[in-house]
Amino acid sequence: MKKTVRKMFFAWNGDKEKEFLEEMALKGYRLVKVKFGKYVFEEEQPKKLIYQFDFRSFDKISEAEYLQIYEDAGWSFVARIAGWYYFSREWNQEEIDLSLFNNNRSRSAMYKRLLFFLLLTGFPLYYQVLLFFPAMTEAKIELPRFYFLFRIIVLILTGLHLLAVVRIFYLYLNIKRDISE
Amino acid sequence: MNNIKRFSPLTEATYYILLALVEPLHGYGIIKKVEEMTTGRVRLAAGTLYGALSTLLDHKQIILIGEDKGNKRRKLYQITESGRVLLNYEIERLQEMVSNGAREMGVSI
Repeated sequence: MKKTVRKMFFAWNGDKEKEFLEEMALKGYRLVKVKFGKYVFEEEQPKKLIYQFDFRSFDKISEAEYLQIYEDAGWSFVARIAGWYYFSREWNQEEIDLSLFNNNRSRSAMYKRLLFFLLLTGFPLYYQVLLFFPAMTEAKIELPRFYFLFRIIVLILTGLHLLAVVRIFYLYLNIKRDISE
Repeated sequence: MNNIKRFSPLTEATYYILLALVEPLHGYGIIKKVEEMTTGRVRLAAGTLYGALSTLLDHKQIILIGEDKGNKRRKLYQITESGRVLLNYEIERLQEMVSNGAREMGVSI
């Protein structure tokens, strides 16, 4: 039996997303698919699963090899959405550290990849807000109502985008402050 | 040589990955070998290993030399000549750290 849950987490709320997915596993729902704002689960035996996320952007190593390394290390690839990779594995008592990254270098590198991706995708938004909108005068507008809506949407997206950059940069700085490597 | 100093100090993970690659190994082989060498103390997480591999590849400290016979998706890597120079530089640096530490703290090694 499949179960779909509509839910959305921001990229800086990875901990909450992890918690949600792990609670679902304890209730007997294993994640099988992730869509934008939508999680699809399959019913099975309740299990203590550990979920982890990775973000890949521009990479020389092929995806097949990437997934193989994770799989060999005991992670099952669950889903992929917009550069985000979801992995899970069953919890066991022997393993103390069940995370994808176990030094600060690699932990902060993930946030760096994410920030780089955000800055690239954010460019059109900032272009609209800073250059296109100020240049638009009343006379140039052909479809005022559409333009108004468009402007509102772009402004909301830009706000969210800025928030994401700030929050993720903050997570990144927190790791940088750690004394261990 | 100046080039080498740019990469130093290596993280513990990167140091052990380079060290493991004095023989050709694939990703999981590296994890296993490092675990053995350190009697279980250093367990490379998959993402940490993967990140270090791509950085080492970028800087040509290791090269791709082929693939596993059993599974083509497992690529085999090996250390390069400049990787060896870097590793030797690190060994000397670490030796200095240990002997300084031992002397100042009055510990015998």
